[in-house]
Amino acid sequence: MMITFKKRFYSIRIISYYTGYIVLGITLLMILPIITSLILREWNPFFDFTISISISGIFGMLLVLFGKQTRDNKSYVQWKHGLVVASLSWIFLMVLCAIPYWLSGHSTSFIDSCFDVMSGFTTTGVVLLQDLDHLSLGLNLWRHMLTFIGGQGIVVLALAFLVKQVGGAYKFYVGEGKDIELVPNVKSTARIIWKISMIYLFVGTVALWIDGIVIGLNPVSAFFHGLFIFCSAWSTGGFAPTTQNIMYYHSFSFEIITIIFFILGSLNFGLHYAIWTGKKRELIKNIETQSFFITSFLGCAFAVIGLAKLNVYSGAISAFRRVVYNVLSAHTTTGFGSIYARQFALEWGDFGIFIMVAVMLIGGSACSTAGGFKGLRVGIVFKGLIADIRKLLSSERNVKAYKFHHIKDNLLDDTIVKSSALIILCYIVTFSIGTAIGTYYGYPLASSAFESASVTGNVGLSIGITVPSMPIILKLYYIIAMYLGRLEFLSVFTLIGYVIGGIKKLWVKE
Amino acid sequence: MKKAKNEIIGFFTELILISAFIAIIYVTTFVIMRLR
Repeated sequence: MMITFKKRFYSIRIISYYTGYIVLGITLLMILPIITSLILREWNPFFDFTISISISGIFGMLLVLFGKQTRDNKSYVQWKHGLVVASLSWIFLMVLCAIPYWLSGHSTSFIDSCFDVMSGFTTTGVVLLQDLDHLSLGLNLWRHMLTFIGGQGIVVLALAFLVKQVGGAYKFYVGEGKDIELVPNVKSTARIIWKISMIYLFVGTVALWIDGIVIGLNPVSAFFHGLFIFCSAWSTGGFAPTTQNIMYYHSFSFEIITIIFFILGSLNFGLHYAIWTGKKRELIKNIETQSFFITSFLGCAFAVIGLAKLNVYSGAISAFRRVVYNVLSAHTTTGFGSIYARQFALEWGDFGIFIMVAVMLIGGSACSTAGGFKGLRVGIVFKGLIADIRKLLSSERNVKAYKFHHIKDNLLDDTIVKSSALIILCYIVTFSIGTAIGTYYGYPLASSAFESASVTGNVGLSIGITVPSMPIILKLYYIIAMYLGRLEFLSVFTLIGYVIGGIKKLWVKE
Repeated sequence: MKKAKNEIIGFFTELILISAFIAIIYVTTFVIMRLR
């Protein structure tokens, strides 16, 4: 009896220990908005963050203490532990990081605060916060920090930099949907990811800062706007410090700079690393970039043709800034909008919305900051289809191995095609359920599909459904869709299986 | 030294290629709007 009891709690202790460390690691980051609020004498956010860090810190400590035996016994981390820790950490952190939002008074309910945190962590970018233009700098910093670290991966960050214990770290890393090893060591891989991001953070912030000054912002304001917009662009998040999003700046140059950085942010970290280590041709040869460049070019061209037919925009610059910008923002799953939400519904027509839904679902690259079902999977399934057709057309004796190039040449076997197709199917099912719930609550089909694709693909563009007064069931479903889309289903399904398995075991007689 | 040089070249390669892609899309937009 005692042995069985211990056995059951063995896994829970491991999960509790590592989840606790991740919670503590991310909680520590609240020190930055606390310092910012202190320097700027924003006393309300200062106290909000102090309360939040205390609650989150105590919770994280309790989790670590509960699983303390893990360290004493040097317990082995299994795959199921890694996947459950990754998915569970996101849920705990969503709740804990929502406390400063809720205390600020800018949210109408705690669910809305959780919605905004999940939107930030998953780099979606849909917003339920009220009166965004009067948010404190401390809270704005926190929002953009969440989206920036969410893009690189919160579990990866916590394990690679903030805690010492990294045994079995690759299993947590995969749980967060990032399964590429740039170098054999996971800690070094995570550091490479962060090195690339920090170099671009510096360059991008300076570029946007200078441009901000040129377009008339004062230097201090331009710096913070540059920093916040870069964090959102690189992490393909879509948050902005003002309600008008990217329209606030009224600047073509500002829009061009953001396009460059959100496309770069949507590329695979493995690709950045390959190019930075001398493999320049990788940008052309890689199946993922080929897929991305083809689909984004076609998406932009068809959207411009469709809207030109409707005579919505008068010239090339206007069409580029209003149509191409939004299509690229949707395809990279960024979510910066250069038109108002309702303009999609009122001016773009069904064809324009269809293009947007398609590119939002396809998304950016695997192992990047982007969402969607990813160019790599689209490329693999497309190549798999061509390979199957060729096999049917060729003689039965002619057995040929098909390959695809992604960092290196890989064999295109049925298992890879099948797993890619399954993930795409999961995305489509999640998107369809969201669309169905939207229509159930009386929203038009096109609008429901647009908003559902936006949350499932972690994009963040809105057609006007996501407002604080929307039905609570829809809010909860959108939170789940963002979460599933970001973690790419596997770890969340493992968590669900683990919980169901645990409940079943409780009913088994000793 | 070689590593740093590769990183700088890689960084600018990415920037140039992405900018070229944006330029291609802009030209395409221009052509479509002229032809409509």
